[in-house]
Amino acid sequence: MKIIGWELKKVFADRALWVLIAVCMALVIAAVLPSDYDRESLTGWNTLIAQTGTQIKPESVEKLESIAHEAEENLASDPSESALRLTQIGFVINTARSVLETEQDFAPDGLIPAADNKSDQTALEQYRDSAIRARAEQANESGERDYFSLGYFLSAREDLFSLVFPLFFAATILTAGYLTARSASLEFAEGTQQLVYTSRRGRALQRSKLAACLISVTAVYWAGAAVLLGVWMIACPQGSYLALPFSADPFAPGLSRFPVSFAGYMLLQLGMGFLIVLALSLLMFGLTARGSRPAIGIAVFCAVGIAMAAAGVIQWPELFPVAVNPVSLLFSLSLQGTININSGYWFCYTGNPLSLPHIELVCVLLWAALFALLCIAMLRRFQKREVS
Amino acid sequence: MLSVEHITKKYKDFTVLKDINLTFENGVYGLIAPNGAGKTTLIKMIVTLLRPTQGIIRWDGEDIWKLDWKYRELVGYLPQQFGYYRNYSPCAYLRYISALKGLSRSAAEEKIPELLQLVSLADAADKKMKKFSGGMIQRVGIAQALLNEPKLLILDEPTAGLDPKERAHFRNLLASLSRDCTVIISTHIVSDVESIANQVILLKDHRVLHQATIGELCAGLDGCVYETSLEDGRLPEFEKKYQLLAQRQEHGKLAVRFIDRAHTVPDAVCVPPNLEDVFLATYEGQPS
Repeated sequence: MKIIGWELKKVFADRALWVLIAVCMALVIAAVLPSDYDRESLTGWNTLIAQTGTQIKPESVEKLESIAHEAEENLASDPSESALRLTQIGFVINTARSVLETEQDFAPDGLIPAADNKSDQTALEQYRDSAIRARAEQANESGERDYFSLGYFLSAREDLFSLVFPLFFAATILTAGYLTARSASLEFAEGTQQLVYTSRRGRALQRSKLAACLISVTAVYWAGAAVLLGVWMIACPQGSYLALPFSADPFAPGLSRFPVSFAGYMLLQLGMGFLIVLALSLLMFGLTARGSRPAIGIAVFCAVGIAMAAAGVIQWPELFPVAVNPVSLLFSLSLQGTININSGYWFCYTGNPLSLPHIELVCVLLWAALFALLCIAMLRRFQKREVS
Repeated sequence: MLSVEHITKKYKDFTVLKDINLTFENGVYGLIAPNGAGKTTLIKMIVTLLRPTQGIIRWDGEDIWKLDWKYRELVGYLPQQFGYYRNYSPCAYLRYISALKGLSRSAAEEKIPELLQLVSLADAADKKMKKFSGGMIQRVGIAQALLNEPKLLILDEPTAGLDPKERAHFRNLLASLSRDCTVIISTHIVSDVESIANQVILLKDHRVLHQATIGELCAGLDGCVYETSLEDGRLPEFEKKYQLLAQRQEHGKLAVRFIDRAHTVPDAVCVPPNLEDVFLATYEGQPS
């Protein structure tokens, strides 16, 4: 067996790793299971959207009124379902009339916080109105006012992106950190370092460990993601809705056109999270590659992580190159605007108007390259260091 | 040929080894000194675990750190404290070490059963090492040191945990290997090297005291080692005058072996000195 094979065997022979994986997955799955899943209501919405399409235009109102009429006729025979349909149809018609016939554009709830006094509140409302007018003018110029988008209701969507995925990312970072630190220091922990590092390939062993760690992280991450999504789909069946276009929430009819299905978006977000976990694994390995005192590497890793998070939260312009880092991207990915998607960014808005398109991917790759250089530097130092 | 040139090793304010100069060719070398004298430090520098503060170690004229893996592939090393993977069998463990030593799979599969047979572990080849006794673990350690047919074999306390039969077997093995190999044994058990060592190195006060054959070392005590019998109760007084090397009860009296450079005990019999006598005489008063 090649040395990478031996190192993989050592990684996965660690019982504590399996216990950690089991505990983490149990916590993540526990977050999936109690998701609010009102099947009847969600089925009603999705049936309606299947009839009208996702783009609601002025001419759609006539069709909606005809569907409402049918629902009224069925009211006597199936009162609860018909009442639900009528409520839903009524909402869409009112929204259509409001959005398409006036300049009014719904702002998401909570965008304008309550002020402490009346004059401040008035100023805030005036600001909001001017922002809405500006958006309406922009939309008129671009032709986007011709319709508004309805999103298919996919159960637990908010829970999935604001709770389950963040927990999953945290769990995989914890697992990756453990197996990386453990692998780098295993020989010192087992007392075999004097034999291993006097052998022909011993000093190059850390390279094999790095490769084994990255392979292990990849396997654990995607296996975990498969289990997570499998449980989610069993608990909250989606049917064919996963293949349908992903667009803005109907309660905040944004004007985005994001050319990807919901399933595709989920996979993109998991893929982005995977790149971030890989980058952080490289950082952890670089900090613990000296092997004999992993606790120091872990402590530095935590400190660097907290500093990255702080830089992302503060978002001073001078800190911009540091603010957009894997940790702050991870927070944005998980907790922020996956419902409101801004064109030009795949996942999250980084807060800088000069951001490049797809800046998240570029930043993660640059940081991963930086951490890879750290690993290379530590590996070269390990070639010549003392082993006591 | 291994040459150790002006090696000094310091840790902050403490000097472990001072200006060590040694040369090793094919054969068996015994490295003898009390605890804390720097034996293990010297060995660790020879196997590139530690770097000297000053000086250089060469193999066939080249710096061993510059040779890097080319030197390490020639070395077989058994450390004093031998770590192992508890859930591995000896077979699996030796396969892993073979991979680290760069042996091909076929070469390893051929060599491993041979070595397990040599160290009398063929019957336990597939049992987990966590169930092994200390002596069995030590034998696995000896086997792994021999995997790559080393040109330089370094053994730190290799017979710890072995019974007398196994130790004798091990001595014979080393003697046979030393024809084509440099063997350095660091040990407190003088008898392990007495019968097979070509040369013995004594360290004292962080320096090399002697590097010589056993005959040359013993010649320094020629005519100074005696044996006699003492009445009960005379021992404490006797110890104050002479350095005691050994004692045993014999026919109701105490038979003692001691050093007397002036031959002041009339009925004492002069005996040929051995390496243990040299060791005890050299390190008199030092902690064991």
